[in-house]
Amino acid sequence: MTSRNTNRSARGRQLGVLVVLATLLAASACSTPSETLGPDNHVKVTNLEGHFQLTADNIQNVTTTMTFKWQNPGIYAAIQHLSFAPHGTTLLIITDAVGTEVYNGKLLYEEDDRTLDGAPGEWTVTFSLNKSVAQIDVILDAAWPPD
Amino acid sequence: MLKRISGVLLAALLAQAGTLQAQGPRPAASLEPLPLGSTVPGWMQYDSRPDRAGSDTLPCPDCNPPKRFWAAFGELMLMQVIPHTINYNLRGAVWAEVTARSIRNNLSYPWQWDDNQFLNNQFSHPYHGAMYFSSARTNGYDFWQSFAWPFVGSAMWEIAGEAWAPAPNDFLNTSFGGVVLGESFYRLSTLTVDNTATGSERTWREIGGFLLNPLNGFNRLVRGQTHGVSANPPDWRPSKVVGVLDAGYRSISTSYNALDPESAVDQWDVAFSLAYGDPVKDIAGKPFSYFALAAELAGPPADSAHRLNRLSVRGSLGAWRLGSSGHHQFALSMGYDYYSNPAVEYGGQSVQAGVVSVFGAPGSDLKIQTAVLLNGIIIGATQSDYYTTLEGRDYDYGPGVGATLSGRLLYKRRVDASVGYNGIKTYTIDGTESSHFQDVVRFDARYWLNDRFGVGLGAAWYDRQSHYTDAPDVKETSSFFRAFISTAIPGVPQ
Repeated sequence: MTSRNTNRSARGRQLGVLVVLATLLAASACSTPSETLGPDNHVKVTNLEGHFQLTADNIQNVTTTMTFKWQNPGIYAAIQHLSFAPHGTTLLIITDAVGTEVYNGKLLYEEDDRTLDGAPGEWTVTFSLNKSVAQIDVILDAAWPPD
Repeated sequence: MLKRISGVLLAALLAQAGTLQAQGPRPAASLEPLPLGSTVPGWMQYDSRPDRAGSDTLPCPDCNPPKRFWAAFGELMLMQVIPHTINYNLRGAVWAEVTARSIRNNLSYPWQWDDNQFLNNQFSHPYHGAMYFSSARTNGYDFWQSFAWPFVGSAMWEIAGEAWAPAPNDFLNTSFGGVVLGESFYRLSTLTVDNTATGSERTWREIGGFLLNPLNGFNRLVRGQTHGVSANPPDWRPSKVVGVLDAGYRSISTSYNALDPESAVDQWDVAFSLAYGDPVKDIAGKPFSYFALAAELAGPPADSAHRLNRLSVRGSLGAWRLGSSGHHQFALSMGYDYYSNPAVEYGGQSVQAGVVSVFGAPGSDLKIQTAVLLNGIIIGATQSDYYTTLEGRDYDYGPGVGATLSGRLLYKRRVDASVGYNGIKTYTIDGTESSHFQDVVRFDARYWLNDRFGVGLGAAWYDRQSHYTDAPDVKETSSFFRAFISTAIPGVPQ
């Protein structure tokens, strides 16, 4: 009897641990209206001819669109994706000097990519966030096909 | 490194198989129902002896091990902390920055299918799940009591082990794949170790057991079980075990002619099959009392990520005799599949149900085995023609259904021929909007020259018909041809 009670008690403790863990894990946050970017996000833009970089951090449940004009003397742009965007959706859309879309993709973690070839000149770079949780770090560099 | 580890594991298994062979007379071979989905001849098996002479009088502390909940839980946590620490502290990975907010986010935002590479999602995650399973299995819990642990471990990792959104594909592959690989590797590990062995044999067996199941090896080490002589629990020794190692040439073509000079790719090929347990007597016993494992390495390409061409495991869950003849059984099993070769990329977790049968009286020259199985694909990863991501994913995810028909013929214990058909249909729920139908017809034949060695030929024809909602449909065809020498471990039954 004692042994059975001891086993039952041990099992109860084990169950208790699992219940506490499950409760902690199941304590879901309420959905809240999405935010816009603010000072806490430390948005920093470097916009030079042939080089563009956007960084922002601490993005929590943000919905916004940011558009930049960028001088690209190259035929295409090399893209360094250094972002981390685990939740929501993020999009990077790039159009060339004549308005042709040369890139449309999500922000990625530690990947290199490139745009399609386009017309050199004033390119448009758009970042679109929808209820995103993210850190953004994207670098664009003018590039030319090898001779 | 992989080769070295494989060598040690193979040596350990060969040593075990050799011991089984040496431990006593064997009964006459009898033809038995096909292993479920296996390429291992079910008839080619040996009776094992649980222990060496005199071991009946030895104590058996491992026969009824106590359930060590806190040790199991601690090891489950260790299996989370080790990869997390490596990624956070050593690699500085942003995704490993787990905070209260990241956990809250993971609980409140929708889960997202991830875009990781095939090897990562279809092999690494199930292997990680096997560690979760083993944390319970090697601490006194049986199969069913350990079943939930990879599910809990995976959920914990997805929510609190990384800051990425929890991924349904990771959860399903880790948990179901973890059960199948976990139980298989646990049984292979306990098959390799031998509590009655001493000296260098004991050492090598413990090393082999550790490599096959690191948690089992770790627990044996910290509990002082790697030395000292005691009896092996009966569960550690299957009634029969046999391996078949094929080495030779393989040709893969994108047409129905595997030797088509226009499209054929020549490769070296090494395939290993293992049947653990008796496919007749054991499938009605404890889960995985019978399981079949098949692994295949091939090259070139030299890319190590693609050298593992196949890893399949199918384990018994239960069986019921049909009729009074004893020839037919209704069987349930659970499977893990990983195929990655120049023509086929498929991985999945599945369950099977169907009838396995055997025809041919004991002692007769001609014996036939058949299997008719329905296949439920819990989650399948099928090569996609349109879904490609920068992260490396090129496959669609979805559940599915399928069927397996197979037959094997044995003539005078020398000619062993098998033919099989597998067809599966998967319905994509993440990837390109699509459905995929894959089927394969295969034929293998071996001629055993003596008790140990044989030669063989094999061929397979594979089709994938992919229907895409918003893109042109695609039909892919490929064929395989193999010519090989075989060795049966420990040998062809008498």
